[in-house]
Amino acid sequence: MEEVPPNADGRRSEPIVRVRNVHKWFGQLHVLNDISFDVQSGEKICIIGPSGSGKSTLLRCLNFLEEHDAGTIWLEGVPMGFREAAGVKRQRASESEINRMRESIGMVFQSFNLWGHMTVMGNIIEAPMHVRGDSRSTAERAALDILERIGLADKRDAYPSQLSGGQQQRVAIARALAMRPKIMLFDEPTSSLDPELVGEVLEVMRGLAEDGMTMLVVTHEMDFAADVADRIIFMDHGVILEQERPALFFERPSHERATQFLARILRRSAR
Amino acid sequence: MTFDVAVFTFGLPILLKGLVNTILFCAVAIVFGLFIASLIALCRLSRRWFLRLPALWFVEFFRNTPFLVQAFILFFAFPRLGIRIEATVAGIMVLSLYAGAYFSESIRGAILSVPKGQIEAARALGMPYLRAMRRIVLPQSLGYLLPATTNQIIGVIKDSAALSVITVPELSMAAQVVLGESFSPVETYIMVALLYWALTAGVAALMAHVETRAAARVASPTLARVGMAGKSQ
Repeated sequence: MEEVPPNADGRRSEPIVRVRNVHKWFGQLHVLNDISFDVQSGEKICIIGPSGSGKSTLLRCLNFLEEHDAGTIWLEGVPMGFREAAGVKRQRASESEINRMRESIGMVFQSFNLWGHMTVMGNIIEAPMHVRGDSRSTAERAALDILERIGLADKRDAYPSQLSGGQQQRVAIARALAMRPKIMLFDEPTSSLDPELVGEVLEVMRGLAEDGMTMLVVTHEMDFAADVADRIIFMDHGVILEQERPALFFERPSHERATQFLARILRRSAR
Repeated sequence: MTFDVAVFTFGLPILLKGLVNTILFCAVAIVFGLFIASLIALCRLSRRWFLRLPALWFVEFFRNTPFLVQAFILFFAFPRLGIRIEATVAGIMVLSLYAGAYFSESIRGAILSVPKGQIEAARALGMPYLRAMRRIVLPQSLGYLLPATTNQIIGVIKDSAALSVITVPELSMAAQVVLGESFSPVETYIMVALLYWALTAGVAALMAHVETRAAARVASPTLARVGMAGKSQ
């Protein structure tokens, strides 16, 4: 195994996520091409890049919603999805091992994916009760805490279809937080929202960042990335082209592709 | 054409006995069929080919050959294998498999009618596949599943008439008994038709009731607005 790279502050520590030489193909399409990076505990990383660059696929590989075809993803030192064995063909981990690892990875989707047949409260307590095994009262108490923190306690008995998109996405974040994850993955969390609803979701995410949550965010919100991220990962055509602190990345990206991408994004938001 | 009223008084008790058997056989076949269908549907949605392909072949065979032929094959295959089996048992078996193949298609359709993101959200939280199916997908697919299943149950009841050819003592078989005595085919088969109709209409009414109950139990936004709110799930 390679040596652990030093942190920004020079300490060497075991990363919470370690990705090495990950490849993924959809048929002929090489969606992820030799992806390697580390995420330190508490770090906030924004993954940006043109659509079709593999950002979402990368995020979905981290919790094994997509299976990577080669390479290894470690979560706190444990390989995700496959058992490690030197020299032999890799072997799929058991479903229960994968499920257990997923419990500590929260995920927020572009399309919210709240369960329409359950109330806000039902959505949030479902996994704590039926995955972790909490009692209803414990789960509800924890859920109310989270709902109060995101300002939606009065919506506990509402159904998803009665909420605005922004409220739905905040509930989706609450649902993920209820499992007390060690890391949160956000897959374009504001991309399907009306512009006036984006702010409330980003505000909740900023709050999470301030609380020290480890976050990986695929986003097109450059202001958010510039403010919140410790590091920007820029992807194009399945390759990580740059990993840089936001100040440096936005000032002078070192790749032509990144320059073009930023120009395009900025032109769009100036309009 | 004249109507022979005597046939009714003579034939009805025999036909009613046949009807009771039809109800019994169909009920058993539908219960087994639903069980088989759930397994087949999950196999067909599996990413493992050795589950998916046999399930596909099973459905193809039972959907693309006449039920009558299936019944004959099963009925004559057992003695050939040296297994003595009663016509009724063979009949229920073939009806169950047949029902299973048809039900599995509507279960598969129902599962696919629920957006993929719904189950992904559950899986991302660490929920096992079958539990996610039961708690997240199934309740949301009932609106699709129940009407489709109603149609197929009615189909199974009507197709069970073919079991008379392998001497299963159900309603159509009873009709032949009545016919052998009375020689009045029109009167006999009108009675048979009315009895089948009564049964299928009864099933349709029962299933409509089940749909209403399911809609009330599975909370939905429309119901929430008329007073279901306040109950978490």
